[in-house]
Amino acid sequence: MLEIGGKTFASRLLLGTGKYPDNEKQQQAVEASETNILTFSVRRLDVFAKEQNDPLAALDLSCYDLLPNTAGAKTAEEAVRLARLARASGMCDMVKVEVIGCDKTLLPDPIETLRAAEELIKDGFIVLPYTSDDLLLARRLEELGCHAIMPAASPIGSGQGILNPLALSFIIEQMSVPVIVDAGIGSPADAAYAMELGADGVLLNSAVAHAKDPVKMARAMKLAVEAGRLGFEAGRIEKKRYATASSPTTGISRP
Amino acid sequence: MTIRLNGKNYALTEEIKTLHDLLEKLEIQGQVVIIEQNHQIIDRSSYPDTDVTSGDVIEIVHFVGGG
Repeated sequence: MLEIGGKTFASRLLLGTGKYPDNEKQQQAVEASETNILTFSVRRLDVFAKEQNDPLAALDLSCYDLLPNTAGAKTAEEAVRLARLARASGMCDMVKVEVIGCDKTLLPDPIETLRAAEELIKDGFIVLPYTSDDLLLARRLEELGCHAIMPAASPIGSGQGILNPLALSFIIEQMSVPVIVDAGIGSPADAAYAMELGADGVLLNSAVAHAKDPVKMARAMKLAVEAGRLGFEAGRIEKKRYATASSPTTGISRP
Repeated sequence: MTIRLNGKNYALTEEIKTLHDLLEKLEIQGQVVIIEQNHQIIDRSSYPDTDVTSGDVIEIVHFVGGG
């Protein structure tokens, strides 16, 4: 079971919303993923539109724990404001702190992320910061009282998978709070790899939403996360330079 | 009598006295929205008791898809 801020979750796969071809596909993919946690963003409502198209209308939000993000924020103050707006919905007390410092790479601003996390922890939120794979920053975030650490595998939406497994494993080994690999996952193999490294969970969006068949990919990711976790718990064999026979080397029958 | 609503000027009509009235006028009273009035987040239960006055800066936000 994944445990974050005193809550437990059967699924170790956290899923983003939006970017799907349509609401129905999104609903089916969310169901197929068997996730317990969905992420969202906070945006202005188009109050002047003739008709309101609620992108989340097809989802029964009461079945999930909601993890709003602070995407769009470039400073700690903006992130804190977005988090408070999200909580005022009365639907959530968790927040994914996301403070982007570079528009091209979408890499997080470490200083602003740290400041935002500190303020939101003081304010009683369950705080999950999106961060780079820097061990020392992860440590600082944990020391502040963050409830999970969410290092990126590679740039958001890039689908490049895990670029620096060594850095991720340093974080995984040293954190006491859950480590959720967030951003950059492209395929089920990436998700399984993250879990085999010992991550407590994986958060992804584009890899499912932009797949040719999002519903099938959602199920693939669910299975990959489970397989990776089981593999980690089971403990893989050591790698050796040369072959070791699988079959008995004695008693070979010859005519 | 105008307010600044989600970044645009919005003319208040006679019947809009509270935030609740405003949501009704905009036909979004059934949706989950969060309102910030003059940089203060307003508790959802207070919408019927919160006056809207000329010059107010009001932001109405909601959840959209995000990763």
